[in-house]
Amino acid sequence: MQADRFLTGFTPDVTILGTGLSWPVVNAVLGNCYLFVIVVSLLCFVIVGVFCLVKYAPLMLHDIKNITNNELPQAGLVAWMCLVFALPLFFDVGAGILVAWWFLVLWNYLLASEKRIVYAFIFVVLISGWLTHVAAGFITYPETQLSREMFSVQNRSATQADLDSLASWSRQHPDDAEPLNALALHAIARSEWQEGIRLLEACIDLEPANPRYYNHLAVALMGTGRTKEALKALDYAAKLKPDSVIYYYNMSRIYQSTYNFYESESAIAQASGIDSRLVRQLLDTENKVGRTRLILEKTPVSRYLARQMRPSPVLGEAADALWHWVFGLIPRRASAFLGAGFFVTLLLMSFIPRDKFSKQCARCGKVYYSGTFTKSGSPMCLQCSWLDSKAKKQEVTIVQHKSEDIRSFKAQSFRKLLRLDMVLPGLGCFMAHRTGTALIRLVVLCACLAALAMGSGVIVSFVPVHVNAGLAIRTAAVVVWASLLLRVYRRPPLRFGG
Amino acid sequence: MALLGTLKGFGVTEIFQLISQQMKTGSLVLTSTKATVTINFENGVIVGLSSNTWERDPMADVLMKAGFLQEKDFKAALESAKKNSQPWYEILVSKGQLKRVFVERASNTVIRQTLLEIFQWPEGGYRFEDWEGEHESMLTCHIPTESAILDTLRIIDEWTIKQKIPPVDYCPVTVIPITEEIVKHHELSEVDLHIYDLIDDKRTVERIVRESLEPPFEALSSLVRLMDLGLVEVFPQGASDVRDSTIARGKTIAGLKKAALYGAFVLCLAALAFSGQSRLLHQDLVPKVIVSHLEYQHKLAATFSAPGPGPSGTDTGSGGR
Repeated sequence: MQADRFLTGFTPDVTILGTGLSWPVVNAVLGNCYLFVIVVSLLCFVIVGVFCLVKYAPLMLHDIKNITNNELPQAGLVAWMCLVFALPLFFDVGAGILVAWWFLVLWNYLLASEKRIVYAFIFVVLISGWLTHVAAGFITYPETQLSREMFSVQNRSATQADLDSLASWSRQHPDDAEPLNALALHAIARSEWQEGIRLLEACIDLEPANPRYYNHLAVALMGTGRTKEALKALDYAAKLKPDSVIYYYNMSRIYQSTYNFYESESAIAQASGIDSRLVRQLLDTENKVGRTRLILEKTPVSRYLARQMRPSPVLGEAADALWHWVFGLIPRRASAFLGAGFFVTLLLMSFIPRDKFSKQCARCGKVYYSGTFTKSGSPMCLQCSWLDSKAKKQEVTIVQHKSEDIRSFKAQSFRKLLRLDMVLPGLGCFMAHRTGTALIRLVVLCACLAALAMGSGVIVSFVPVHVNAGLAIRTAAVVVWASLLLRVYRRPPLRFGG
Repeated sequence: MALLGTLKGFGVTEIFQLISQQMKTGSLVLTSTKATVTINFENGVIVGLSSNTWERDPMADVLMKAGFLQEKDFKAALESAKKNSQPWYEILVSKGQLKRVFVERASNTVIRQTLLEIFQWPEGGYRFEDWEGEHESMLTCHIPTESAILDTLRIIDEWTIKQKIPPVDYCPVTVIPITEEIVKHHELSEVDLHIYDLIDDKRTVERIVRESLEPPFEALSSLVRLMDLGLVEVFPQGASDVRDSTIARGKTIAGLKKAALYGAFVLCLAALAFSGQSRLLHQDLVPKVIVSHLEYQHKLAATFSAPGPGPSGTDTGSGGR
């Protein structure tokens, strides 16, 4: 029997905006979203590192001047500090190691809320090997595990080279059922029923609980005229996956071909009970063609996604390159050790007494060594702490003087911080010790930057997609950026008189 | 008895603040393992202070150490004071043997020093009692409580200058004469100038602090500030004859330090530039491996978007075979 006499084709893809959600499209969407999140996170960490430099480098300079008894020229000390901060740039390292170095050097100056960001960074470093593996899985999707070749077979665009690759892969990986299934589908399409049955039986031996293979086996058996066995295979498939329309539909078609109309109607009723719209669609397609035809199943997208994440030399090379790009210095497999070592170093540094490092009072701006913290965790000198704890402000000259100091510091800081926040949203808030607000503004800024740079995405679907969201994404990024600046202007980092 | 408790639950600052806010009158007795200090308040203002560690009037000790009072004069004044029921220093002031300003400064020094100590007590007890009246050993004063709290907290805040304080037996010497310009430029305070005036080749750090009649922290802070500004340097006692050579050597060392700072910087920079392998100079913006993978996707997309079916004949729906 010729295949085209009873094969309608494959199950239709779910579509959104006229675009079928096939594997390359889903991979492109998921991959780009994933890369977007990763890029935004890394950009945030890098900019937080820059914020820390801007905020704490002057305090560090103050401490170094104190330690050296003001004997050394400030220009020389500044030059040395620049050299220390830029030290990783002299080596083959990425932004990750550079930021980690800044966090390490400035660790004892950081507030508790800022330290939490560093802990998040350590967590990212710890899992960075895995993160880059997943990113590489998205990037190398058409090149690994013969997924692209299998997809081509199911989308009627496979070349002889693709088929040769599948055959070669199956010989080298006899425990991999999917390529065998693809070859079987190709055999079915060419009406090579016996070859199809052989390959599908091998698939079932490898994955006996996969109903898709039973369905395909039923189609192949139908090709040889073994309807009873085909019905048995479909029955088994339906038992394995009772919520599938396809198996009942195919069952009804086989019953119909053997003139068993009662069973056929019964099977189609069962299929309609699951998804009547799909059954209607399949029947309409069948009516258009004018023949009774059976349905094959495409490999699920989740199966493709799982396959593309399997370790392979190509994926490993891409993941190593990605990791080396972001961090460098040591191989990817040592990323967990890097994170752990970084954490232990910070832990040891936490044992240095806090009063060895100068701090700037959030209230009056005075630089001090031993003080206290406000309720929100901002540094505060003891004098301001005392003023803060007073139940009511008395009309005493000395208190008025101190309050005047605080007011003038706020007045000076207000414009400076607003300007900083307008230039780089989040910087002003970070300087004003409002880490949470700073982080929100920074994330929005980084998302805008990433959206502008990436546009509609880095990873593309090799299946033509007629929706181009690049312009819309970039326009949205510009609008969000403008809204952010407006928000910064309306809600400055420091409330004047507050 | 109006108030009683331990310093662990309620710190000295809070107690002072409470008394000040409510403008209380009475005696605050603070006890620790080291001492028992009684502070008298009148309408929330500190008016007197005494400690059980004082064997005699601590002002006399301060003045004697500073060299403004002789032991025999003090004893004579003390005897006269008993007869005339007058404070001993009033007798000396009336005789012209002591200046009133010295007495006030000595009193201020003792009170500030005592307050600094009690503010740093980690534990102890307190009780606030009704006014008991002044007794003999009570030092009288009139210090607004807020002022006392702020000044003491400032000292604690800035206590790190301790590391820079020179040995007490060293002799500070002036290096540059102070001019009006220097005073304006560095915003030198009256205490700074007072300390500077006391510096000669002979006085030790300890003697300068004592003779200044300033609270030790204030005096030492000024001295450290003058040293930081390069106006004053300290040498071991008796080494004034070698001062010039030491200053010259110091200048040479300072020059060498500067040269070493810049030299080491240039060396490190050169070593890092030569031995390091900066990515900024040697690597592309995006790794070639990643670029090739992304380019492959575009190539594939172009292939798939080309018109016409695939060449394999797997077009199962078209019936083309």
